[in-house]
Amino acid sequence: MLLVELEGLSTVGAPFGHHDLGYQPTVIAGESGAGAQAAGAQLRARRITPDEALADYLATSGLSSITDRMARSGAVDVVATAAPGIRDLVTLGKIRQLEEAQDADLIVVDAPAAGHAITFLTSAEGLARTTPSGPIRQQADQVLDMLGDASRCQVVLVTVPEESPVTELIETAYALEDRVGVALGPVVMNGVWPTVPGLADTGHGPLADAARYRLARVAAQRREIDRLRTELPLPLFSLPYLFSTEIDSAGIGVLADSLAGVEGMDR
Amino acid sequence: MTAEAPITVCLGSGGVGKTTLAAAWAIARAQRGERVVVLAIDPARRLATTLGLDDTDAHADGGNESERENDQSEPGEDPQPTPALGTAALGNDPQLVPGPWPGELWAAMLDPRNTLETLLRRHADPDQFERLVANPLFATVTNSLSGTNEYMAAEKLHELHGDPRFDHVVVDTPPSRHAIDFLDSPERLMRFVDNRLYRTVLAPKGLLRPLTNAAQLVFGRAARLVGAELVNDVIRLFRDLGTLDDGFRQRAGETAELLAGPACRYALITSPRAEPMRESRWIAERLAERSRPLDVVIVNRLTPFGRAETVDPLEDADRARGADPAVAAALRANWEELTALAERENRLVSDIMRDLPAGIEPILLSERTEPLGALADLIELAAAISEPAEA
Repeated sequence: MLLVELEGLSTVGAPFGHHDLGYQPTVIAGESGAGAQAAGAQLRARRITPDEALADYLATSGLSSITDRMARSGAVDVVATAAPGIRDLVTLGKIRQLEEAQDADLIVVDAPAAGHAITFLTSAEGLARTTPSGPIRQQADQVLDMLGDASRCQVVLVTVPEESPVTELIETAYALEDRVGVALGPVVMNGVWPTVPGLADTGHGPLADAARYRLARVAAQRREIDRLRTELPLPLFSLPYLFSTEIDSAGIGVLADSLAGVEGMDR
Repeated sequence: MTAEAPITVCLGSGGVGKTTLAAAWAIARAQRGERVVVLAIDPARRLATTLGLDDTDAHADGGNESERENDQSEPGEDPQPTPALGTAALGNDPQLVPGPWPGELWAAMLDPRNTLETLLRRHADPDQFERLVANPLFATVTNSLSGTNEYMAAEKLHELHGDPRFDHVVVDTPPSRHAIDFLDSPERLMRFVDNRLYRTVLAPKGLLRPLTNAAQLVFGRAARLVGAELVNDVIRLFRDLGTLDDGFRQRAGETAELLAGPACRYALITSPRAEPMRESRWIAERLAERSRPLDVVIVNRLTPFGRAETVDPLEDADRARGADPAVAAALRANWEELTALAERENRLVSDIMRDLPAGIEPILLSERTEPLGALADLIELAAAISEPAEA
């Protein structure tokens, strides 16, 4: 298993006690060593930034001799400013290369949030339109092949049972379908408050207020979950709210157990 | 009231209630009699939903939107408040939001392409403008590929700042990292315009001047990477962009100054969870690096139990037990879960306060159990965050 994070703060390693992931993969859970990796008993994580992906790409394509000069002259800047999708594309290109090399049984990518996810995933299509030839075009085509092939790649949309995030998820799902054509996997509803058996709206005082708060919260979440089910015909399943301010490895375990065996999550 | 409207930029990670609080912040000002415009630059459409302006055609694309705008108004004409707010999608031109306040509340959602075209029309001659929009790269650059949106957001902000219709501009930014891109975008554009190579490419004596040998060499290398066609389009695009009048560059400079200057105040919105707190710290550090002060901190979505509680909850449980022991046990279990959470939240809040600049008193807001319904909810929220008059 390989976990990939892309931008922003390094967070995917945090529950495992790894706060600074680098471009090179780190084993964050399971046994280390090649044997463990082969047995699939290992979770590795890495962080892919556009700059490192581009340098990597140039080096592996035998173009490294031009990298330094181009960087010094600012040509990369000029081209990347005119066609900013290049930064997203080289990142996707690196992921595609890992996928092709069968670097892991499953590669899980923590992609950018809603609006930016669309920008990120449409970069290949945009560049394929404006770049008739050359290695970038080739990259774009290869990435498009991967994104369009449901046996190689799917998008799992994750949200929380609140009004705006649910609306955003629905819009993102339709936009991904229309503009990227990528297969959509099941939707994950995260942070669903468990009910407390026997909890009732009764009496006065802090405990009763807390009960009302809990019941109202659960009911509001229920409404959003129902709305999502009505408006988006995708399988949906829920993860429990953990009553914690930070997810640690025990929390990740609880969530992983909830995910285990869900149809469509095993690809 | 000054001729130029001061700006409040709301920053924060996703899910902290930034859009809602930006709207409430604007309403608080409208209640003081100011004419406020709130600008959403997040590609998601939350502002319209928050203000109850949207949702009849949630999936309408941008094309229809700009057609509709073109139908409505002549270029340069002041946009009219749309009477049927329930049906209009929020766009680049501010719309008046009716409400029970003495001032005015307007709302707009950034349309990057429309903003860029307005900007270019102002600084290009008609032929040059036609060439620019006909360039295949122009569509790519403007069609929401990252980078352009951020600069267009800064440009739009500049425009609203100078618009005599408004006394105050409130900005709802995209989640953190991209918000910082937005703050840096005018400087990035200027760095780019000043790029040595870029100036080599430009033809100071006219568009027909061939590339210098040095530039040919560099672009020959770039062509090996991205293909000659793209490089040629890039060169043409920048030749056209580069011969825009000086106003274009000057404008970017002004926008950069505006974002760094005293007219711009920064409000950080966060919630008591580890990840938004980490992001908030990151935002505060980035602002400090840029010598931009953080003026307001709002911690939203706090669990409203276990703080300053005077009633002995156990006694309370005894009272409740009168009904049913199972219910009493459930009440107790729920109370313990919520208060333990509130305690962990308190620790996160004191941690972040230690790391923020001295003298900032955070505004603490409880989690709501219901989604915001009517405008009345926003008005109530506005009262809760209203700052002392004249900051």
